[in-house]
Amino acid sequence: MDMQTIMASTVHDVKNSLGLINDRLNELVKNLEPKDEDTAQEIRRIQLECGRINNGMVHMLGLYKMDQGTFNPAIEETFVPDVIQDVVSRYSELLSSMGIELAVEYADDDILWYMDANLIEGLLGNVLTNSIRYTRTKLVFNVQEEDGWLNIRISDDGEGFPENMLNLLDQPESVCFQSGATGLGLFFCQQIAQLHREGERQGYIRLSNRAGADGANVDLYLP
Amino acid sequence: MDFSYLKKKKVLVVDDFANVRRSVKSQLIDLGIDQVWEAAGPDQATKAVHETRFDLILCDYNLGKGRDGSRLLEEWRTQKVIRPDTIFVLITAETSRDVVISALEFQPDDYLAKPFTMEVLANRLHRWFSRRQALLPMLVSLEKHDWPAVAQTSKDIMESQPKYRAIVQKTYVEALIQMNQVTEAENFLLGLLDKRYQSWAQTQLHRLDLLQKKYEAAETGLIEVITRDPNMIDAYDLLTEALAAQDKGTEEQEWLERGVSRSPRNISRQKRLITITQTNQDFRRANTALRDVMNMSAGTMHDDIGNYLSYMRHLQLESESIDNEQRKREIAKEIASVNRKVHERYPSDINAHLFSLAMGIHKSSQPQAEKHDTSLNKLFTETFESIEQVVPETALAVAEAFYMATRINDADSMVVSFKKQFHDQPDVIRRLDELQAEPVSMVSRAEAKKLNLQGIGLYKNKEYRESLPYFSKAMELSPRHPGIILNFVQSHLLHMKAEGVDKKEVALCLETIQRLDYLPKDHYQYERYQKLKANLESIA
Repeated sequence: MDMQTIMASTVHDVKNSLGLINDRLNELVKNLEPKDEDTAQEIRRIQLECGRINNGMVHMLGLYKMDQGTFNPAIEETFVPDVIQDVVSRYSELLSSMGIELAVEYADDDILWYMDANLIEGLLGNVLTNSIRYTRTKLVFNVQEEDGWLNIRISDDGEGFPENMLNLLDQPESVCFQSGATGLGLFFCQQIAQLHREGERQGYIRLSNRAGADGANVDLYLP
Repeated sequence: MDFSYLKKKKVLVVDDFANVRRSVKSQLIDLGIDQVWEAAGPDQATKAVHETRFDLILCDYNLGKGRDGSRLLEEWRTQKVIRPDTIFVLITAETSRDVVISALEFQPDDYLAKPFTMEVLANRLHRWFSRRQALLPMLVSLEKHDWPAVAQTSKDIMESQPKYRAIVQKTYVEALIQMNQVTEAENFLLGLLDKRYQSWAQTQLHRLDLLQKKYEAAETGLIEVITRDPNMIDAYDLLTEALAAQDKGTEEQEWLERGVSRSPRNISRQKRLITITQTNQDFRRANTALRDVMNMSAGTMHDDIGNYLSYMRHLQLESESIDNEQRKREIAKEIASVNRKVHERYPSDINAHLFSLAMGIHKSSQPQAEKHDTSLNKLFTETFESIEQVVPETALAVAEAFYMATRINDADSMVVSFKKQFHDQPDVIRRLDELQAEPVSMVSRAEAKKLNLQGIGLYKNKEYRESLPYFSKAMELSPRHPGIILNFVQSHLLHMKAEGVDKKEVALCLETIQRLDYLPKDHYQYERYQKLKANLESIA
């Protein structure tokens, strides 16, 4: 058996188990609400961690395949609101139970763009799982076209990124284990963005803090 | 979102796990759908789609043993059990595109990764039904194959509802191609590609090359597409077409193999791989593919006795073409086991019986003449008694047995009857023609082909006399091949034109061309044969 098959099967099995755990937890939450809101809330947090393990598995396999040159995006013209809705609907239950408000704002709600919808949905879901952890009360998606680029911004009202995170993506050797957060998730997202190319241009992710320390922005730009 | 329109929709949920079906069903009911059917497996599901016209089918990809979700979709679409406006959604446990590529080949309307929340389902339901509503005029024309209407409706949708542009563009191009409006299709695709490179559009552009017989351009372009996007499965199919048209059999097989390994569960593609490996005399590879097809087809619409017979026939051919004793023993075992399977699965099928008889005759290389004749007579009578039930593989095996036993007249008369029987299957007709033209072993066929090509090379250089020994050697190996015989005669005629008529030479040619008396009028060499024969007679 080749390495890719081994990894793919492992990921498949772990994802299945996580799915089962998640289903069970959902049932628990259903039984707890609304009697024991605190425990339910605690379980939601555990579910979020399940989601992160899931993402981790996907990243591992994805990065391995990229390294082997067998990771192939399928770029097609895509109705952008479909992708955003897919992400949002995957998390809306969790968000509302955690009391986090989520808004989506379109500059043009008929916008189509070239992308691998599946990968971008994964990327946005990834960013969202992180933002949920750090935001206080709300998350906002902003979708707009900017000088021939598609820009999707996810902003939160948390404390913003620490200084060393902000520059993380500019340094090629940025993935490290010292800070606790490896940045691997972001690294993966950056790779996904970069698979979107057009001529000389290629997609990227940018992290920033809003002035007055009232939150962080993650910007995705696609050519 | 307003979901009241969902109330009257009929939905079928197919999953082999009862708790999954229950949970999806309760989600659907919570969303306001009253009419939800459940099916636990392929048979129940097929029964349900025959009985009820569903608006939406949510089908799990993995249904345990037997047919999977995409196989069901293939069957239902091919047999037109579900209408094109029925929304078919495949539920998969995987989201990675590499994994779902096989699953997506029969083009479900969408796929949905497990597990999904109620919100996700609500969101998608709304999307599916809005889309169906928007595309309905196009889908209706599509079902009728009314291509002008498909083109018109898809054009309208592109303009009025740009959000569906990506889907509709593909249908629009298909309609233009079906109407043979190559220039329009080309301009449209170039317009899209001018904005952005998209693999599908580039692939379609090369499909146009292919239609215009620009095989080299298609070949180069499609290889480029695949290099950029190895999952573009249509490109492999078109590429192999381009290679076949250029007689590049080795490359054709190579690319088909790659296509098959990208998407191994497509049986039609596997069958094409079998055909090309046979032509290339790569029996070993043909047999691997034949075994895969036989196993994959079990219980599906592709299941038929022909798969088993074909496999046995090619095992036999492989065995005859090799010296490796161990492999020969393996093959003998495999044939015996497949033969048992055939008789178990199709106990009363006449094909199993006739095929065994033919194989038995074929195998006995040193037959006792009398017994041999008795078996052949029996086979002859029994074949004609039930000719309507004979499948192509049996026909080929039976006819071959007669040619090998040099009962040429009987064999020819069988070929005539079989060609009537399979008149609507050009591929079978071609194989019967080939057998009739070259009732010799595959090895001799290949050798004769090589010699013939060498002869043609010399002929093209006007070295007529030098070409003759090649054609006559080829004729020794394959005495009835129209192409070789006519090349032989034509070279003689041109030789005589330069050097003067020789009575002996003319007599030899006349004697040789008589071998083509069997040639039917609709044979593509018939006209050439008539012309050369007349030429000969005029100088005789």
